[in-house]
Amino acid sequence: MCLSYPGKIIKISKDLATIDYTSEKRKAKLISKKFKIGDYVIVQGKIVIEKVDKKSAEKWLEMIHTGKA
Amino acid sequence: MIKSTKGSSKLSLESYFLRYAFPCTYVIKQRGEVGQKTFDLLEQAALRNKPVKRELLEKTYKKAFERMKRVAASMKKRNFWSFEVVKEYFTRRHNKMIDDGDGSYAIAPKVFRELCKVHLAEIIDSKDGFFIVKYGKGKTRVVASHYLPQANIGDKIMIHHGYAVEIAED
Repeated sequence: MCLSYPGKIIKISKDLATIDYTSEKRKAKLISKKFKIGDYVIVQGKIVIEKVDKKSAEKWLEMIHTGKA
Repeated sequence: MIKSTKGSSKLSLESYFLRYAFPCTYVIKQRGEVGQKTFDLLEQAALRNKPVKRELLEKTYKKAFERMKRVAASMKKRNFWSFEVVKEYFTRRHNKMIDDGDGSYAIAPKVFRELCKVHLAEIIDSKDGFFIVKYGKGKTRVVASHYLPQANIGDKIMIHHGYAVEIAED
């Protein structure tokens, strides 16, 4: 299934965001000021590419972790 | 098909498949179906065109291969391991399968379904490590550019999730 996994921004330092995933934390580059701490985002190729609304992100995370998706 | 033919001939078929399939690996890993070691191996195969066994790909991306088998059958091809079938699947059939709600696509929130789609996009800006592209009706996205170091502003490319995957055919 080619679906991506969201993480939450927990820290921003200049153009580098720390993203919290359920099992790990990863750093990714920010190329826009529109991203804020607490945002759920999709990271690919070490770049934050898109913000995802909280409701969709939490729903999707639950589906993945309960084996529904 | 000028540049893509040139690119594809150097690129192994396995890596070509992986350039499209790799974004899904994050979910597969979070589900615990692949470990860090396999994830790293797949990432290297995608990014650096390193050899990877077809068995591992078929095991990891089960759903993609189920769909590719269907695509190959509809093209009257026996073997789904061909550039033609992989290209047909990702660039022509994939989005419709998402819209039709095939498998998990039926329940995934819209924003995730949309990210999965493969789009024809135009590069409007090129920075260190990424392109800014426009696609669809006035949408823009940032995509990692490491697969296509030779691409320039104005080039038409295929994008999938946050990756510039290949130069588009004319």
